[in-house]
Amino acid sequence: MKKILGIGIVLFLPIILLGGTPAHEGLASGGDEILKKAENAINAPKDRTATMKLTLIDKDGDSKVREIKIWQLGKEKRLIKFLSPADVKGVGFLVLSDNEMYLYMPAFKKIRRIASHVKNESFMGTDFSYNDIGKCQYTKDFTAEIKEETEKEYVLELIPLPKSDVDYTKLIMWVSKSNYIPSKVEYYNKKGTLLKVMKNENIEKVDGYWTPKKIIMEIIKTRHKTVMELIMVVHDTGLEDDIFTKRMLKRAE
Amino acid sequence: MRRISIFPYLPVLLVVSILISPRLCIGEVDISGNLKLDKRFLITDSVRIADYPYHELNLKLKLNPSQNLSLHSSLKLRLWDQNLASSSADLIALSSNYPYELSLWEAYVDLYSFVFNELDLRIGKQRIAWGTADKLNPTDNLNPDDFSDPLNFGEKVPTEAVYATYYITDEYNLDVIWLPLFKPVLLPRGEFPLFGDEPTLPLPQGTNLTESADHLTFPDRKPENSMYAAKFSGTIMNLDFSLSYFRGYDDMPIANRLVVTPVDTVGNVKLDSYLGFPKLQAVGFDWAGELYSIGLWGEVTVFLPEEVKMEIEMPNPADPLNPIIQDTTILSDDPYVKFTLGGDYTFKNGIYINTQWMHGFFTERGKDKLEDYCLAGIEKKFMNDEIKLVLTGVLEIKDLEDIKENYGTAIIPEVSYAPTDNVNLSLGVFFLNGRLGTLFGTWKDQDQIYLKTEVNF
Repeated sequence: MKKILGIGIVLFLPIILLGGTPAHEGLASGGDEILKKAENAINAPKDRTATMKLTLIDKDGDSKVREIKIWQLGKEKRLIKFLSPADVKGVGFLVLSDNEMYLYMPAFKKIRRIASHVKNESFMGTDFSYNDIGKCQYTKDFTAEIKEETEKEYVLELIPLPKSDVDYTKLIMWVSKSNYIPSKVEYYNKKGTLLKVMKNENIEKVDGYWTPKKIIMEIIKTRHKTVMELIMVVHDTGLEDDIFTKRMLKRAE
Repeated sequence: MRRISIFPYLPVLLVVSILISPRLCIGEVDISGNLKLDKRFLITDSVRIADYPYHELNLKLKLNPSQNLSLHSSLKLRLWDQNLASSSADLIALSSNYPYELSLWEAYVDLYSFVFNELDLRIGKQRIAWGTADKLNPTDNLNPDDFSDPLNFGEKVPTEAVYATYYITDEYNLDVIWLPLFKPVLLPRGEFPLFGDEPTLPLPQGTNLTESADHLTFPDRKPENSMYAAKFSGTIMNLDFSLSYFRGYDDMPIANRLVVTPVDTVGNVKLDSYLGFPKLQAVGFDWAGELYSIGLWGEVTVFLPEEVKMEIEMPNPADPLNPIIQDTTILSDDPYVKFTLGGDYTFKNGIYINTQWMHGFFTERGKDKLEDYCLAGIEKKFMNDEIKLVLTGVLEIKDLEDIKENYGTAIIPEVSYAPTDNVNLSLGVFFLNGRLGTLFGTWKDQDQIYLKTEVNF
């Protein structure tokens, strides 16, 4: 399965989708270990239900707003419903694994499988791709080295593993020493050019998990960005597998 | 002409009663819809405004009174640009100058976890969309075709049904559907030929057809004439598939009796056509998956039609009291197969391509009447997806062994612009051409520029 542009964005999205863990004890000895701790911090809650506001802002400052509801279970399963605006209301997105994603379009009353080539595309006009929305585990695709260490953060350089076919040559990630939640990630293409930047802001504890309440993704070339703000979130409410099915994709509200 | 088609469906009554109930807050009702405006300019010889397109207002109501109950209804208002007034007396009626139709398009109730946790039930007038292909779905036979806009392929009219889905596991489910009443196709208003190669009636020498009328016969409204369908769906190794069966009627009428009668003594005759809806069974299979990142899908349906014989009654110049009667088979009961194979891909520069091969158009039936259509589309979005350019091409092949004399083409460039959320404007052209007897050849006078506006709320 081709893993395409935006796989690294996932480094951040899961944070907002699953929240972070309480601060870890002790210092990491290497980049891979820190990356693993960051992944664990991101995937700490068993499940999560959240409502989010997505503001799409172009280079002139014109904006469009979308509202979505997300249910998530574990590292992989995710169900997303668009609540607004009217032309995308009711659109649903189901992630069962890296290779199994479905889109429900109420206008056509059909569920459509998302092929790999689409996963690199913008997710409903946002600066997140389908892959960004759909993936939670990034240690599968990257190895990390510590490039710099400050009083509060590690700066990691993530290099794709040989088996991985991600479209980036590297990612630069700033990871908090206190909670292991990344605060910023830069994505570089194969020419070494900076493609996009993601920032996590307003990181607070919710239900005991460190959770960024605001994520900003900006495409450098177009200066277009998406600001994802958490409106409501609850963790560990006992979501079960049967929510993450095609049956619920059509039905979920 | 004014025709209001509102039926007393239970779900609507429920919605209305809940709406007026003081116990419920209006905020629980989800109201949405859209307005679609469509203007077409025929450009073949001189520019004319086409009369069959329509504007449309859709109003949808949705209500979830409880976790396991959901009510849906939608009203559709279609407004045509035709002038139906034929005398000054007609000018007093608004509906003469602005003909419209109002229809309760959908009205159904969803009962989730009905009796069993694994069973969902949908009862009422509903659209049942089957198939994995992109709009060209030979397995999608439960709702009748809506050819009101014949260039908008694949549209269907919702019909009354009881639809049960049993979820055997998360990956496999069985659908069983009962459609108590047969409903026929919806045809376009105005002059638009739907069929590429219609047979002509050989009239006796010296006669001249001056009048014609047709008469429809529907299946009796009896339980035994209900339609049924079932579908088993699943996923194996990232391949979604379904196997389906349908037993019902062909929604397109077919003539089973033609009566030619003299109307005077100088050879003028009248034609009365008697049309019925043949029984039909269809066994379908569809699938969707991917190979090397390319999205792939396919649908195939074996149609098992009822044989239709046509009786032709002609005047007998030699013996006027004993007309000539001929019998001919107009639709054989030989099974025939329609299929669609397709794929799509998005390149790294954002260009999206979609191609499909379809054997058997919506209006085609019968083993020897099916043509092939190769469709290819390419699209690219610009300016943060606000502008989209689409170029679609269709090659119709009537006879694969002699393509040169049996082909038709449709080329459809389109640009669309979404200036803000919920608004979409599109401007495009249909260029249609083809050899005599082909579908696109029949439509070659329908070259047109279209301007569409859609607003969602």
